[in-house]
Amino acid sequence: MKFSRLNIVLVLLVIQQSLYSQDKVNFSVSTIDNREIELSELYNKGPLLVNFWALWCEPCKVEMRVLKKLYEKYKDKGFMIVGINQDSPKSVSKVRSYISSQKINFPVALDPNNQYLQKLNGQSIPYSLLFNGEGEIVYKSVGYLPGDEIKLEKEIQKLLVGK
Amino acid sequence: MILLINKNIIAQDVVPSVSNILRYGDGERIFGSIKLKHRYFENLTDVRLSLLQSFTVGFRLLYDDPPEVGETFRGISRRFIEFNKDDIYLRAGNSSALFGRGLALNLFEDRGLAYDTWMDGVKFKYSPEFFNVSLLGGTIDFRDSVNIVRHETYKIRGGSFEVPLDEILFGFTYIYAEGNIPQGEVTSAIPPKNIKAEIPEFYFSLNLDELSLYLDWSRKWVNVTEDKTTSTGWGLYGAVSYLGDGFGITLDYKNYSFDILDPYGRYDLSRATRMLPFQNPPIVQKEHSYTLLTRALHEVDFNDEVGFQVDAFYSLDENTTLNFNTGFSSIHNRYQLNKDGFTFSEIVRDGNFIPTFEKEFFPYYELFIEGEHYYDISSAIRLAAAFREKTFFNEFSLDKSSIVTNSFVIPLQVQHVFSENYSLTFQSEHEWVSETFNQTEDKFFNHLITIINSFYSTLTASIRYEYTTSNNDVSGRRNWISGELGYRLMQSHVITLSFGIERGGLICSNGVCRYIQPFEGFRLNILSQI
Repeated sequence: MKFSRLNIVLVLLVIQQSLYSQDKVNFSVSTIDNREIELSELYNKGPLLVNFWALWCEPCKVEMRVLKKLYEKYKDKGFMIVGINQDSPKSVSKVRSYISSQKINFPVALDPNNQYLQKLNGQSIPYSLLFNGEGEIVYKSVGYLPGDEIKLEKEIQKLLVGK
Repeated sequence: MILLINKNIIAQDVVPSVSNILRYGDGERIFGSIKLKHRYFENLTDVRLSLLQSFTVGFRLLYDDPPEVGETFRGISRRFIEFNKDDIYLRAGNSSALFGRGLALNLFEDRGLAYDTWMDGVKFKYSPEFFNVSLLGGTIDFRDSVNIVRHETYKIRGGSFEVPLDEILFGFTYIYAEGNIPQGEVTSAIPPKNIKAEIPEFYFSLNLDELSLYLDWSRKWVNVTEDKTTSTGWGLYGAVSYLGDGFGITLDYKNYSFDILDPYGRYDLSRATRMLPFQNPPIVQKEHSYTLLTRALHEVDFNDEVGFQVDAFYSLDENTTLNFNTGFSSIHNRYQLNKDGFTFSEIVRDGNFIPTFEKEFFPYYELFIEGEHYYDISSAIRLAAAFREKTFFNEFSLDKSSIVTNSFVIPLQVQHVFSENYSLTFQSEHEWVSETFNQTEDKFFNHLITIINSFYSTLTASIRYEYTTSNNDVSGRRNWISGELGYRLMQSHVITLSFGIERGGLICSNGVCRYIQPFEGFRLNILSQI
């Protein structure tokens, strides 16, 4: 199909609408301990962070460590994290071992075919999205650099204050 | 005017999302003393529109003119419409798919390796409380990432049925495919072959608190129309994990016999009876994140390989983790060249359900250990050691010659956070390599240093230097230096500019390998999540 000016206009319209709209997403994920959870069940109770990561991604593992600390600090106020692992079938059997060794205590789901990442239009990892109580995405972050946790914590605190 | 109308017309129930990747490079590819101009431009825009909560429409605008790898394309390369409500999921258009662990069907894309087996068709899933059933049908247009001129097409139909019973899951998959497969590297010289393939698969999983078990078995029948022959093969994958407090260990096992042939057949990568491109089982080999270890010594042969892997994580305390990994694989049987010098006899090995170290069986093994210690919330030191050995046996010679390559790598990474506004990462990797061909040994080493500065978690500046003492690098060079600047805008837009000379190498991901050419020039990448 020819790439045309119409295609460019179409994308610009969508981008413009994205800037005005708030994303509202809900789907269910299967966790590594055989639970089925819907995102709405979690963000209805408080801010929810969805974090996409993988074992082969070093920044993801560094970020997971700071996310664990944030989770322990704010979980009693309703903050929740769902980690969605992106390892393909070749590595997915090791994910439980890693989670156990790191004592990660928030839910972790497996996404070996990247279907959840595609639902949220992710292109690379780590990729984190913070949802408010209405299921709207209020913060997105691509990649991880030291110091990101400070910005994220401020966003979490804003949502908890507003709750 | 268009923007104003749009804002008013589009209802509250339409939720769009856009992501965009732009990649541009301008420089030269290096082949010894030959330098070839190389310029690429790629822009990929993925758009999803969620409508009325149950429908999603999506498309991909692609402008590859030309891409770094692959064919030029300008236009809509993907489009789909999806319905998802309660227990029902239906998608028409382009989609990926995975049944079990991929022994029968694993459709995915890896743009970095120019590998794409996404299907164009229809996918349906019904998941009430007691079972899951999936059906799909469509076509796959597969371009070989090694030789993009080769173009294979497949029509596939199939499905999967799963019964989850608390901690246990039983699954069955059936795939039927018809394919058109060009023969040889030059598509027009030899007529293509048409195949009909049937691939059933059974899988089982058990997930208890401390123990999990997974077994997956599939069989493949391929009928080649032109040859009037039917080839059969099978594959078995298993994994068992045990978890404790701060501890986890996993044992993976593979036994892939999808198309065991003598050396004449084995090296014909375009043969119609090989494992089909929409199958992609686990490789049972560690995927590394250290640069020198990502340059693969061994490319998994899903048609004839048996092996296992053990991977363990152990936390000494809250801040210190150890990871140990070992993997071992070989082919099943060996082939002896007859005295006529042209034909082979298969010698079946006893116990060929486990790998062997004997050189006639192309053994590959690796040992890896890594320690990681955080002395601060984000400051850490990582030290690892990895030993790998690969044997290539020359079956076409009566002198039983072989090439043994072994590599010992020590990577060290220190990441120190000075303040919330500045952090520094230093990475050093040293590799000793030895290649032994009969009595001749060639030894050399590779060394890589990377320094990454990060400012205000927004700006990064890094430099990378690599050096080798090898006289046989394909680029003819001994050292490579490159720099990179990165800027992250509002956390969801990342701009990266790199310049300098990059060393190539064999990079493998998800069982797909491609040789990355050495490159000198600059690259610009822009990633946006809107």
